[in-house]
Amino acid sequence: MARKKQKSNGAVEKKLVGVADVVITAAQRSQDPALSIPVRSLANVNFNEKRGIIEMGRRKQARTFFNVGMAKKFMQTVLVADALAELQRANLTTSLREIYYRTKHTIKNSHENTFDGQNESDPLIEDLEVTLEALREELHVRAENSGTVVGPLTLVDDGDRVDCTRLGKGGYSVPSIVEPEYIQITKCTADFVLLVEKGTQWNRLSEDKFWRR
Amino acid sequence: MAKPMPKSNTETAEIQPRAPKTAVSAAEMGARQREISVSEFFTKNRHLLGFDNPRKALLTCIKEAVDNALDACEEAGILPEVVVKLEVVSNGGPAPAPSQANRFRLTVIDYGPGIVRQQIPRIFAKLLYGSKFHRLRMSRGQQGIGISAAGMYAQLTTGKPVQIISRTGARAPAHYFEVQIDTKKNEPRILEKKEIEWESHRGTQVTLEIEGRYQKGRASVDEYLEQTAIANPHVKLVYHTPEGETKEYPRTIEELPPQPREIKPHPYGIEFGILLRMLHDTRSQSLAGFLSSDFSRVSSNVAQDICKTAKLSAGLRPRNIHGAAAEALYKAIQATKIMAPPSNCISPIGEKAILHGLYKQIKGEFYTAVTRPPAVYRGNPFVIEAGLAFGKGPEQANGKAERPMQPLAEGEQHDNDNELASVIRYANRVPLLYQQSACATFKAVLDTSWRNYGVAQSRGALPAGPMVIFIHMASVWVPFTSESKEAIADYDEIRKEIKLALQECGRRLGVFLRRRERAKSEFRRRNIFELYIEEVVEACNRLKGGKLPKEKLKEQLQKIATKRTGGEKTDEILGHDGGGPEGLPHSIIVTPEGTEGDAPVIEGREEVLPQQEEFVEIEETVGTAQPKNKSKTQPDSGAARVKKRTTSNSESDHQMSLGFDKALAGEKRVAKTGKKHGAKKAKK
Repeated sequence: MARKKQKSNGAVEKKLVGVADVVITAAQRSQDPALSIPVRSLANVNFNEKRGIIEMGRRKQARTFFNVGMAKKFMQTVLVADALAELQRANLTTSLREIYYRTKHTIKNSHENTFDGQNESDPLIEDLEVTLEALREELHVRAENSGTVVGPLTLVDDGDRVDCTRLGKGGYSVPSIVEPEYIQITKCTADFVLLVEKGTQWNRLSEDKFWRR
Repeated sequence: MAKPMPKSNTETAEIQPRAPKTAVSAAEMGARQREISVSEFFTKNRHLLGFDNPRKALLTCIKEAVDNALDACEEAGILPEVVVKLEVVSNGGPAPAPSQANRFRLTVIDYGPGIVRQQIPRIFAKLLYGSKFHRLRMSRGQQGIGISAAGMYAQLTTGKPVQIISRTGARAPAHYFEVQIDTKKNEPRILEKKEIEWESHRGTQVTLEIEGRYQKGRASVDEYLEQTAIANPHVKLVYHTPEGETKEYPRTIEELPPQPREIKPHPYGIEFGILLRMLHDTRSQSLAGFLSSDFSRVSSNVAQDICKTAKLSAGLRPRNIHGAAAEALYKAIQATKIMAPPSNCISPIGEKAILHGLYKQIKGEFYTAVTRPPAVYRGNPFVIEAGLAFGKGPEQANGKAERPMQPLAEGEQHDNDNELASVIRYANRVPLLYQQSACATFKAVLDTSWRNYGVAQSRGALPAGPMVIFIHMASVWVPFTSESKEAIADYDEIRKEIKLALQECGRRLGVFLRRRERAKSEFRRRNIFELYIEEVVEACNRLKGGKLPKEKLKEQLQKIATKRTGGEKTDEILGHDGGGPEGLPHSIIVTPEGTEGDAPVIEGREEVLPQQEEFVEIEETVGTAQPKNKSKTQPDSGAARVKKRTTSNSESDHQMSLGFDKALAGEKRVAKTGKKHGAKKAKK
């Protein structure tokens, strides 16, 4: 498991360094450096009937540097790529917010900040995810946990065996990524899965040990 | 008839007793009726000549004396050099401050041709005496009133005579005269005359002692002399102010303007009465001869044509043409097509000279000048010239005196937005300072739509902006609205010409402004890239593990940036096709780096230039200006501050990183990042 992670690390780092290579080669050829980023809009989405899922189309958008409208974004993308590569090397995971703070600073000899808000840096991380075809977790950016689970369910997470019947009223916090490489379900005796949307309601049901009945 | 008469008589009889006893008979009235001499008339109506208030009177006196001096020098072919000296005269006690004083002695010295002894008294002490009235030739003076009226004013207010020293050459003696005007007879009265020693070989010196007020600002003596220097760059002016300062306006053109020729009247401009007089006075024996010899642009063919149209014999004696025949002749003249009058009677200042004058006196960034081809109003040829100085020089030439500049805090700027352009007007090279709004030139400025040229202008107002508009009308006969020569009458032809000249200036200004705007925006664009290149290079370097030849990459990127914003290269190519700087003929462009165009060299100018508003000319955007500009926008310590900030931020981040706003982002991501997450959902 751990080995596998190490391996993907190297690949992702290489991909991130590729962003720098784009700039360097373009500069050598005295061309405008450009990153092509898949478009993530409703227009670039289609439904794959065979697989029954919605897939992203193939349309891409070029982000160039020497364009007044995109120059800043390009610069920010490179900065974010740098920050992510650093994480790879240090083998650390961090949050979106920290990425924002890591990359934010005032540009030398000016009154301008590289980023004015987190809402500028977040989409860039997404951009890099899709451009480099790396998951957020592979980029070592921590995503929000996707809910909590309690009940007759046993799983292995990061080598730990978790029995969801013995987790008090707090339950097991589901990580953002649940692919079989990361989490394996070993035993499940539940008759049905009840999805509760509201946290308060979920707390009440968990308190009552509703799943036992 | 018989009946009403007595009635009216009785009426008058009834009225008469009521009339005051002082009523006089026609005979008595007749005894009082007598001739009024011109000088008497103008003594009473001195406002007509520009002596309405003490301040204006002082200016008028100086103006008349200087105008005469310049006219004389130019006519004699001598490069004019004029000294104006203004001194406070005390009334017994200690001399008051110039702004408080009400009595001045003014002296105007020129080193011109001088005046012959016999003429001195009449020139200076007889109204309507002079050489300029009877001929059609461009000159500053026209009527022969000016200097003698000034002398009359002196006599009226202080009782002091006009003192004249004149010498016509090194060999001739200098004559000293003291003259007064006999207002009843309009004849000179000589109080003293003698031969004296005088230090200059030739020239004239006039001294007047008058009541006046010395005040700076608009329409002041200072402004007049300054504007004179603008329109007469071939003149050297020295001005000793009453405060004891000496202002010198150096000569920038070592060349006299071409001598205007004297011309005969053009038939279109003639009035009926004048035609009658000319018919009477002519020496020609035949009508055709009269027409062709006494008028300009009338050939013998044209003369025959006129005779034919008038149905008069060409051989008729001019003296015998009266009444109906004369009227027919007059109509025939107006009906015949005659060439426009020759323009060699006018000597325009010339574009180069205007440019030099403006450049010398007004601080700005852009100067241009236009001389129109000659045109005709009422048979008088005239030439309109217009000039324009635009820019935010630290002080505007004529605003200098009125508003002392306040020291400014750093970064503060003068509020130039609501400043209106100023118009300086000239007629035959003489500045016009009063009655601006009555003047055709001013109206033409208002008429021109300056907005087309990138200058703001409210309805019915002067264009806004740091701008000086120069307008000159040169003509054999400038139609003034009054004898004091303050405003040019509003003839359609004149106004049209002024407008055309202004429009040409405006077009050039527009080109200049647009280019500057474009250069600025290009510069801004490049600045953006410059700014980000640094960041990108740093980030790339870090990505590559610090093994990157940073400088090289930076250079490469900067090169691309320059190329990408290099739209001005084509501009340059386009611009330099024309004659002047950036393809604008007869223009000067001032940049922090220097001047472009045909600018005269003025000493001490360099000191002034760097203070001007930083403005980036197209040529310099290619790279020289960046370092300068950057260092200006932020002096230092930028990097240090940045570091501090980032560290403190990332510290605080650790507490916040378990944030709550991620749920949203996570959800979004599922939808967006497609495949894998989609698959996962489907499984669930």
